[in-house]
Amino acid sequence: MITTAQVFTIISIICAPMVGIAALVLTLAALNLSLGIRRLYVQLLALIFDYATKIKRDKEISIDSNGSSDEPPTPLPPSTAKNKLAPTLEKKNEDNPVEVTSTTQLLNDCKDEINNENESDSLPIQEQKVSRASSQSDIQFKLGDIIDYTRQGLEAIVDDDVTKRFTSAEEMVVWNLLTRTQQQHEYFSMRVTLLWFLGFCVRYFILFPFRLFLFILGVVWMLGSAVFLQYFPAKDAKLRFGFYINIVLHRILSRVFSAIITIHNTEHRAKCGSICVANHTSPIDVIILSTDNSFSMIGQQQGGFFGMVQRTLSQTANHIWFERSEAKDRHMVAEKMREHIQAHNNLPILIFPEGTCINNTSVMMFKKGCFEITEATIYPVAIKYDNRFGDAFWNSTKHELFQYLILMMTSWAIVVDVYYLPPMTIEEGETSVDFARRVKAAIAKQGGFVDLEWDGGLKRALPKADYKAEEQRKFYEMLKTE
Amino acid sequence: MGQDISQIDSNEIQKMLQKFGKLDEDNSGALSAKEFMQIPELTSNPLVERVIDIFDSDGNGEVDFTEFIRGMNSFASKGDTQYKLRFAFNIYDIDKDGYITNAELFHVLKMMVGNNLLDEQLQQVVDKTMIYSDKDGDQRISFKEFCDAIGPSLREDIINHLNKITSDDR
Repeated sequence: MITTAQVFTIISIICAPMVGIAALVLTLAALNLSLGIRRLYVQLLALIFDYATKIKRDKEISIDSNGSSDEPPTPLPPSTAKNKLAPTLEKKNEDNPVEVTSTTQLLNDCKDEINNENESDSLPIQEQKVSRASSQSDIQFKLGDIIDYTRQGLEAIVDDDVTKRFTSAEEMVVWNLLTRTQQQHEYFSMRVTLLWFLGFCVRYFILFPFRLFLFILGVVWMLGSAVFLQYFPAKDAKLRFGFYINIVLHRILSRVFSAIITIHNTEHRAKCGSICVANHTSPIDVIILSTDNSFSMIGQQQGGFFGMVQRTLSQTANHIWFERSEAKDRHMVAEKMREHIQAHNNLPILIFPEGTCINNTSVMMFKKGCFEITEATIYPVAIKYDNRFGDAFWNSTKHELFQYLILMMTSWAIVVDVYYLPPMTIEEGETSVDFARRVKAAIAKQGGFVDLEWDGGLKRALPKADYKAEEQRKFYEMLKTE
Repeated sequence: MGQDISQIDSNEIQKMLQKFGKLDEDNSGALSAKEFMQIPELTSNPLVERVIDIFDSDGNGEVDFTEFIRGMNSFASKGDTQYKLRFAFNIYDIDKDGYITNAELFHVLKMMVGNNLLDEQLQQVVDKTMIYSDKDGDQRISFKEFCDAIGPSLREDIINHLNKITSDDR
């Protein structure tokens, strides 16, 4: 029979290291130091993944008779991970035995520019058409004229540019021992399955409880600091303390996800009274950016847990929260933002102009709202995640927020590169739409993303009928000009 | 289309299955027109209804996976060229009776051109095309007449264009 005293002793023995480590983490967070443990951990993981992938490949070579899908295993050291990621994705497309994907690239090559409509190719059929002597009217139609549209339609069904941005990026070259990233779990070998099982245990039974503990700690810190700040009558002191408290909070939270953040070009960190724009992949983006700088956030006032978080955060800094009804009134939003910027001490406003989470392979249309505030300086930021250790993309149609957070907490780590870009302002005679495009192109270039003009809102809504009318008009023009 | 589906290899079928699964939101096992319309590039394509209709060989308004694969099979690069031309023919042949009538041609052209042409002008274009292509005078275009009307150089074009959707060489 075990007495309660003994039970307590056992529990405290188990908890003691946890508490000890938590205290260590907190101190490190507050002082912005790092023991480098996470980086070592990630390097170790990379080696393990390469090993597992090698086993998988060897198996595939022996099974696959033609062996056409081979490429020599290339170990990717994490230091060069960020450079290799873009070429890795391309390589995957090349050796992919299904040709349809690469055909869509061909279609893209033919496109001169990306714009709102799906620009059809310039109908190469035209050059080789048999000329008709009979017809004299200015409309020339041949039965073969529909072929191009048919082909585009079929290509769109097989692989289109838009829907694939709203789901997690496809299978990686290196399998990271998470079954959720593999479309189908195939049994390769005992060793790999064993590795996966080991990984599963580590992630769910060691890392996860620890991270959960840290998360609770973070929430407690946040609530505690909100209460603490209430006792400061002077506004300045409140804001100054608030700034540092905020950063510490986010550093704690980033450790919850084992986030390894590399910040580039810190000289372009956003300053007070400006607007910071970034591409959006997940709610964690905010945490990541906030580890280095404090922002004023802007968004709709939500209910529930998130709403409470919003209200608490409002104690530490000036955030702009809207009621849902007000959000539709763009003028008022713009006005509030203007006021905020003009008060020079105010923190930079953080905005995600895409409006929704995209899967980090591309940047979609930036809504022009915040770019219409001409007095503001825009500091663009490109956030690039390394998918190998955890896919940060939040597919809101697939997962609820809490489910997503748990998925994040049971991934290996979140490795992210944050690139601060030089500030941009709107130029003479430039429209806000053009300015938005310019900023988007800069972010896409830095992060190695595909620059798309499609609206992120297409995730949930159907496209407008105008697009079709535009295609019809083009067809008509084509008929006329033969 | 009753041809055998050995033209596409298993990897391609795998990819199709994934794509099919992504589009099939309600997991009904078949794609309705609404589910196809989630693809923005498809929605702006004036011929989308015709394409979906051709896939839907049993005419129940939805495309199940077998119909999907069969439809895609026409574009396997190793496939018979007849199937590709047949696909192009089927764009026009709405009631699938093997002949393109004046009304069907008008209907499809109307889809393509929208409101940019008056109906009378459109009818003239259709009549002209019918006269040109209808060799045996039965007021409709059969598959053979279609192939002849396209002309050999265009035929190559069609085949090449429809080839590009799934093809090995680039």
